[in-house]
Amino acid sequence: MPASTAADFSSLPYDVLIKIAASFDHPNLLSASLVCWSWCEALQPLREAMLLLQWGKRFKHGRGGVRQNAEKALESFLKAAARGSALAMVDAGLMYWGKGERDKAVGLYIKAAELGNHAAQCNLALSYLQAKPPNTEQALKWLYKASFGGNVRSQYQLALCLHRSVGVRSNMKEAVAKWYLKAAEGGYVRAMYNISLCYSFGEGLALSRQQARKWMKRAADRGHRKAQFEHGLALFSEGDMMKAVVYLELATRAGETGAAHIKNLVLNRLSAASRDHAMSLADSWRPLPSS
Amino acid sequence: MAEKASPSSNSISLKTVDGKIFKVSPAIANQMLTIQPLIKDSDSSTIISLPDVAAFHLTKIIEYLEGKPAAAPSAVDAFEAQFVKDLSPEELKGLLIAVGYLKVNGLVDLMANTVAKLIENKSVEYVRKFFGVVNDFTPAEEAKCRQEHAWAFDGVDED
Repeated sequence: MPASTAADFSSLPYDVLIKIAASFDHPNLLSASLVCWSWCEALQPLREAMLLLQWGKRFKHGRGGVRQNAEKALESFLKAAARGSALAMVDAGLMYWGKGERDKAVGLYIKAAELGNHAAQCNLALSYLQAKPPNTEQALKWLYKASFGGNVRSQYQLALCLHRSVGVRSNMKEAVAKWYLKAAEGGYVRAMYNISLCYSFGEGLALSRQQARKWMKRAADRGHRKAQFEHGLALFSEGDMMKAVVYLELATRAGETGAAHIKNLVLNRLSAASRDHAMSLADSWRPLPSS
Repeated sequence: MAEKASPSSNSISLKTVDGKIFKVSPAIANQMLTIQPLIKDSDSSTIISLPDVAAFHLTKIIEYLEGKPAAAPSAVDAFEAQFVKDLSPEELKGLLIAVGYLKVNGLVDLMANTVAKLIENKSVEYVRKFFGVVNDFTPAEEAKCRQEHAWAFDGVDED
């Protein structure tokens, strides 16, 4: 049974509190700071880090009246990281990665990943996959962690990694489809496209044209150009020329060269008025939000 | 912190606040960073007292250290998920204190992440209630904490 002595949580060690709040955004950090006086004291470094992080982003993107300055951005991120912010570790890691200083980037990703930051876990995993030779075991370890934590980008990368590393072993196909589906349901567009393919070939789950079509449309509506092409072809074969031409036009505009030929075929069969209407639909199209 | 006991084996003896003695292997004890320096100088007759750790929590800590799978990444996550799931909120809170005190490898991060998920996006009042913490701010202090840095975030786009 638990100890009978009631623990005093106002005196939680500062380092433990900083670990708890390391990936909190500003509202959550402020909430935690307002719990009691000693929490407020303990989280002071993280509140400073939040400010430094914002300054770092201004320097990185050149906004908020600040001129773009990569050096100063990195400096701000590193100062924030030193105060325990996992968010800043990820940003500093990204900047090092961009500069080609991969070891420094990985060091920061490891720290933030151990603090439970899902973005860091995903970046760390990808860096293990890109290493020479790739360290698939370590990559999978972190991808699983972030995926179970609900990170959609990691779920997609995990499915991809399993897909590549296991090849055709059929018992893993289900795991691949499961993670694609999870990521797709979480709003990750590339996973929507891939789960659509899984459904249409019955890979890892029961073949379903209806589900395949549904996910292909969802990916297309969120701007996936291959999905726009595929969905346009599906509409074409169903005889819905108006809608087909809009998706094919969108795919063409996005750079899917294969879509142009069939789009022109359809356009030639439409009246001038329909053609204009289709083009104005394509002009006013905006992708649905995705994660 | 350490006293002598009758020599038995190569194991380390840990005494909890409620007076129970646990014998663990050096490999397990070494993962509790707070007592690491004491292990170096101790022999099998040494008993290390843990004033902030109850027997129940030490049992859970040993269960975690012994049970965590060495390989198979998906197995580690399944193990950790189950470990956390089996804890009641009271147990979770007590374990957080014990683990924070002992600085147990891996478990500090697991507990901190678990607690973070429990209190993220919750109101201040909820967190106070969850931890049984009394609001000891004066209204002026609370207002100051709310105001602090607030100006800096006005009009900043999130990315």
